[in-house]
Amino acid sequence: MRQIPPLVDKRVLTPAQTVLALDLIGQMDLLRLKTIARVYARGLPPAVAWEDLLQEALTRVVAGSRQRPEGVTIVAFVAGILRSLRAEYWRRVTREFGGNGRLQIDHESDESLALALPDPAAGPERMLSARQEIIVIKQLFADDPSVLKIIDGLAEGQAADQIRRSTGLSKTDYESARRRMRRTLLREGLTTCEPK
Amino acid sequence: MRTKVKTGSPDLVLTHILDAFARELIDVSDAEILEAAKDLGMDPRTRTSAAFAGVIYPARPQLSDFFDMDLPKRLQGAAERMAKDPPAEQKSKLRRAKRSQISSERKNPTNK
Repeated sequence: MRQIPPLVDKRVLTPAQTVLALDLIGQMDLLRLKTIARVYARGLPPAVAWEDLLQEALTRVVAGSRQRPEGVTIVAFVAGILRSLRAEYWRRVTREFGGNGRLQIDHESDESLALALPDPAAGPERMLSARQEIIVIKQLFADDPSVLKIIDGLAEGQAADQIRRSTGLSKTDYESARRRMRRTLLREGLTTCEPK
Repeated sequence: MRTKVKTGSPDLVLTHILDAFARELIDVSDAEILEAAKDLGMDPRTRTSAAFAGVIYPARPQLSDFFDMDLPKRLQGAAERMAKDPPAEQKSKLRRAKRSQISSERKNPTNK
């Protein structure tokens, strides 16, 4: 007898549903990763959605293409993949549009230190987008001068005690400013609206 | 102690800021997440919470939110039932078609 091929298969799970079903990542950790994905999607073109970054990172966890080192929490591990995906996107853009192959980065390592070095081939589009994003981030904390000072310190790669010394914030003020910063980042990360 | 990094490139500055934000969020407590979600009127303790939009269900509205996307499944079911047991009218049509084919073959045996 003739068989009718199936038209719809609704049993396909998203990578996030899969990691939940396999108990690889908990619900609250998924929310942490959602907010981190939104952070790392900042400064990328609108076509590169944070959802895609997150689902791609989770796919790599499920597929086992990335192995979690011992002692590293799952959130830190996936955050590393998200960071790596962001860097990978810019590397691809650089290669496709005028890249000259000068940038050699270990593609397998999520924690590659080379990523923190200035990219010699960073194009004007990337520079402009980064500059705009810094303005947006500062606007987000415009009503909180302490947080803005902390962000200035972070932008220079300063450690906590260096920031405290240079800003003159007490330990308590510094910690409460960080808490306010986290609260705003969480709200921006969890909202269903487009983040600022 | 970390050495102070000379900045200048906006891209590098942004990378430092985003990395620092991510570090803050990696270790954020459940209580802080729940508080921030509460500010937005969400309750992440349930899986259907809006907080999971874009994570375990799509962030943007889907066609299925507006249209009956089970229709193809129902059509498939109907098609399978018809394939197993065609309606009486279709059966007689099939029989007529078969008969006319046989008679034309008898008339023109060379066409075979």
